[in-house]
Amino acid sequence: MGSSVNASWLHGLDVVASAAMSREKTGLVRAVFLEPEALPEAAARLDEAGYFLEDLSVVDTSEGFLVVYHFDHFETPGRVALRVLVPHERPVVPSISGVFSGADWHERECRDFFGITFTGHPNLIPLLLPEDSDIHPLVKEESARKRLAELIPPGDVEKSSAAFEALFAPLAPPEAEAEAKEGGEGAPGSRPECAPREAKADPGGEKPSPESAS
Amino acid sequence: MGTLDPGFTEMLSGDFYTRRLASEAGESTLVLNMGPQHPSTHGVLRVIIELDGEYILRAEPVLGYLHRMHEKMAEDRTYIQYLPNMGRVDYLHAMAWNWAYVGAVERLAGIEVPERAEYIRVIVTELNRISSHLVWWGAYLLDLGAFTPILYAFEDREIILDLLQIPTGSRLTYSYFRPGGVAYDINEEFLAGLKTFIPYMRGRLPMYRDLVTDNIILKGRLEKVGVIPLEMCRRYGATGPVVRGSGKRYDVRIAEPYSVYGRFSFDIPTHSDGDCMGRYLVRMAEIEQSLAILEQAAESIPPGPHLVKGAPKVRWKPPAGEAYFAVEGARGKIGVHLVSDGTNTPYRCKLRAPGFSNMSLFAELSRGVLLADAVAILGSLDLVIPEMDR
Repeated sequence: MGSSVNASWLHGLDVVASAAMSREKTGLVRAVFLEPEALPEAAARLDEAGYFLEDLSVVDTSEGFLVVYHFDHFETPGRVALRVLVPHERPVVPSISGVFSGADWHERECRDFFGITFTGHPNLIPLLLPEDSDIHPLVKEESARKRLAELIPPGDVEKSSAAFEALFAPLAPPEAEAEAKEGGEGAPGSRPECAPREAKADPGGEKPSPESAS
Repeated sequence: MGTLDPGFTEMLSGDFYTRRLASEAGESTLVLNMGPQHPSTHGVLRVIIELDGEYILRAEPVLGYLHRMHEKMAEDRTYIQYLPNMGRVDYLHAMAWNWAYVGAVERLAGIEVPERAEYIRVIVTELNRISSHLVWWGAYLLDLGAFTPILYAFEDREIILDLLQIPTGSRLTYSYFRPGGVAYDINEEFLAGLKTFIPYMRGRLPMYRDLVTDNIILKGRLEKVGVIPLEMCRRYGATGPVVRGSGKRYDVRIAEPYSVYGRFSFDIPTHSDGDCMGRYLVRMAEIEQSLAILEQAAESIPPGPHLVKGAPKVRWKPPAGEAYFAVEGARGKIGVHLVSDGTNTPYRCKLRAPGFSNMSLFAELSRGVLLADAVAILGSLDLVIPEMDR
């Protein structure tokens, strides 16, 4: 586990969940789930800590678009992923191009491929697709989408919240049990197959209550 | 003389991007389209430039002329069927892209690679790195007005292409790596050729230096031109010879060690000036370092299989999950982010192209420079357009 990597930039940050990852298995050392509003703050802290933006990837899941920012460090290498889940109906994420200049093009590319709007972007026009293009080629059909929990391993979760528990509830029983006392509200709602979507919409939007588990 | 057709005047005002830039242009400035067909853009890159005399006020790159949507193609075929795409993302350093993708698949499924295969991978990737740098060198000097060097560069590159043709069967768009190893073993002919090539190439480098590097005109064109501060590299995520030319010793082969690179002794050349000359010298020094790696690898390559038993076949399925794998390409950090849902087709495949991030700093860097220097700067970034556009 790459949890020994310095993560002081995380202290006091409002996160949905934070997990140490196995570098050998995933290539990441840390994955942090955030509410979209918390993204600029997290990016500013990574900037201060000397990270650089590697790329911006989006995974289209049944719960929404998972926007993934990969960061790495020149002196102390170790990939950090910031993850933001936005609903298909309103795919809006704050731009971080004011913090990392390189995000400018990455965000324009994601707008092309997925139709995601980055608020505060100075020049959100098509980059790789034609200027009059109205298709977003990487958006999946509803029937082809898979649940986030089937795609992304949650990792070694250190900090979690009800919204996060609801997302991963059926796939990670040990963690769900450990956090059952705190996440009591989120767990029962996550039983049926379609529930996580609603569960996400409500605790995700209103109460991003991060509770420390470690 | 009739009046001009309104459609014709609209056409004269340029396309969407030109009009957009021109709408904010000053009254006494010139808006100029450099590309998509321009000799110094090597492929089809387009940069719209607002000029005041010979000085650039603003520059906006327009991408996408070679966009082929490789990421969508990944979702449309099986993991193994996608391999040939990797030779076509960056046609100059195809081996590194082969490696980045295959590495991500191996990480996703936990596939072991035989030791001999790791050595073969190092050898072909480093050979390919030299051939990529040679093309850059020749083409860069062509941009700067020197015709002769490309003839020498291509003469030497030809030897590498002939060599790589032996195990791969192709000369440019290699599709040689497989999850779990490589497609074919290397033979005696290849190894013998490699062992004659290394001293030959070493002998050529002093000639390169005498002919070009020490040339006073070259120095005049490159020194103190296009200085990229290290902080700018970080803000834009620039990697490879660009960040090393700005003084940071960052190389994925060392920073995020993979394969058997840890067994060879080699330097990571850097240069502190951050100018075009710095990037030039870093690449020239990297050729020597790749030769050093090749020499050690050729001597210590172990016997054994070149592909693991039970290596994935065409309809193979990895477990669900995600994996990110990065390698050091000739232009910088190549990354592949794979997300699998457990079927035989990638659920999502994100390709990080180093040229994309390196080029993104051009708009900021070119502000206030001479148009002729912009050509020197573009060349010093070593752009491969299909790799940027993917």
